[in-house]
Amino acid sequence: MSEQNLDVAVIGGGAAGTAAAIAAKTNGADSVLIVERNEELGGILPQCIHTGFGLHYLKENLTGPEYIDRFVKRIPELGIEHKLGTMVLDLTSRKEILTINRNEGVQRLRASSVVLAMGCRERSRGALSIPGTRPAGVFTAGTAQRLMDIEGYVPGKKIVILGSGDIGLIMARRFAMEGAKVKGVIEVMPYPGGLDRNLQILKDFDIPLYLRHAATFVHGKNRVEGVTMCKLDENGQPTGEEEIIDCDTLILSVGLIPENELSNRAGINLDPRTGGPIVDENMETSVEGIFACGNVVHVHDLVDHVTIAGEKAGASAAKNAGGELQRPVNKIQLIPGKNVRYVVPQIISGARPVEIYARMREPAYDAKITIGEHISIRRRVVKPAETTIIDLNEDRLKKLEGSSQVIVDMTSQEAVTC
Amino acid sequence: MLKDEKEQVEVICIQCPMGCRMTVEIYKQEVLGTKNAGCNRGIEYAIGEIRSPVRDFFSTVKVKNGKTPMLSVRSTKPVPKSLLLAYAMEISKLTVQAPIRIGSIVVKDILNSGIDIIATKSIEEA
Repeated sequence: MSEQNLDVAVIGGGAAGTAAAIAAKTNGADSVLIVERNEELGGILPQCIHTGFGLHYLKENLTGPEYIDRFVKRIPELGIEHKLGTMVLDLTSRKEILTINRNEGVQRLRASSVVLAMGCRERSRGALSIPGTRPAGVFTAGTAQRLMDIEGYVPGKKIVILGSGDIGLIMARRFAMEGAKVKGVIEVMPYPGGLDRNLQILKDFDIPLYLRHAATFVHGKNRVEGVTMCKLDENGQPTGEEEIIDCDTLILSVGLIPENELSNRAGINLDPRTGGPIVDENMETSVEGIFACGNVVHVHDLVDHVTIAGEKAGASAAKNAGGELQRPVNKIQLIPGKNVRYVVPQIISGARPVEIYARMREPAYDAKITIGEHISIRRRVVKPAETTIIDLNEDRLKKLEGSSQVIVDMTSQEAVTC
Repeated sequence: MLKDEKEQVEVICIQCPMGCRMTVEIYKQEVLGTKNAGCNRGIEYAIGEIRSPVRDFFSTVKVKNGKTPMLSVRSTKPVPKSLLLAYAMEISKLTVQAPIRIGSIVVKDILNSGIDIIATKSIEEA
């Protein structure tokens, strides 16, 4: 078995991994390697052919392939190594990585710093337990997107989409643009899950949105023939009011799960609320020298924020490899409280300004966000679909002095109705 | 066809995260007024949405002799919403030959619009 020693090893070559590798290299790491399972770098972005990427980070409106090209082309320019078609089999807390690919077989890598950038995967039908038959024609949205935009197959003609998150809405538009009939989008929550700019899609293509509804049965022998949809009451319980929608395809856009099998193998502490590693403001996990960024930490709504997190993790990884990383001396733990699903990073030092990302449970207008007893921030609107970013500047950090734990709460005067 | 009566149309503003749900009253495609807009940008957006809505156009084109079978493409400018499907039909007839460079023009002046369709990724020859 061949072995290789590195300053920084990055696991995953998507938006987070490429940004981390670039930042590691430009912050002084000598040998940087990206290990990627797919046959190309870029992660999910090469199949996200719609626009809307880069508005924050690059101040440009790009498609997914264009956005990631900006980063992927710098990898060889900067002398960053990468291995494609390479699976990581194991990661230890001593930062040893076991990889396998067709040409080299099994290889052992030893790195001073490891960056976890494995992303997430889609929740599938099995995780939802929708009753019914097991016909062909049930796809996750990402699989349908790959079939259409990479492989060139339109996987159906009459489409029902379960879940009104961004990916579901974007696939609704792709199907409509390819001439398929999108019969409806079913959403279990009383409000839509996607960004407002994506809700426009439903109006543009005359697609009905069924809020507070659930898919309760999949019909069809060989191929999907219909989906039973049931209206839910205000407590989310079935009312018995049912309707069968005639369709040949059911697209599932019902959530993403950070992919943390390797984090578990390395004994990294995970946050049950995010499903990803607990990180501090350097994006360092509970295992010293192992950093994490992107959707493996929490599911982001914008790739721009993934890139920013990747840069932070990569820079920290380079500093750790050079023995220069400043770790938090006094740790302050941020704990999600009322109406807050999670907060990332979970641990801050209080010594340096930091941006924190909070995911709310419910949409609300005129929201008041409190951090501990002394910080209070007002926002005109907060939505679960859009990360709430809070700038903890020096003034605000002074109000946290001496705390080891603070609770982040959100209260509002007015709930959003749709 | 223009309706000979007043109509109420809902427009979701996408100019800022507030996402105002505006109601626009129209008569023969003329905007009579907007309700529930939080600011003037919203009113401007609503009027634009009624008079001449535009959208980014993006799709895929078949590739011959490439490492991957589909090329992703986009329009150089937003296009009239009413023409989205016409553009999609037009490029569905195409097959392009690999290699292709990101940013290269795939269709010049599509449907005499003055808008080009460009490649959004590079595809190497197989």
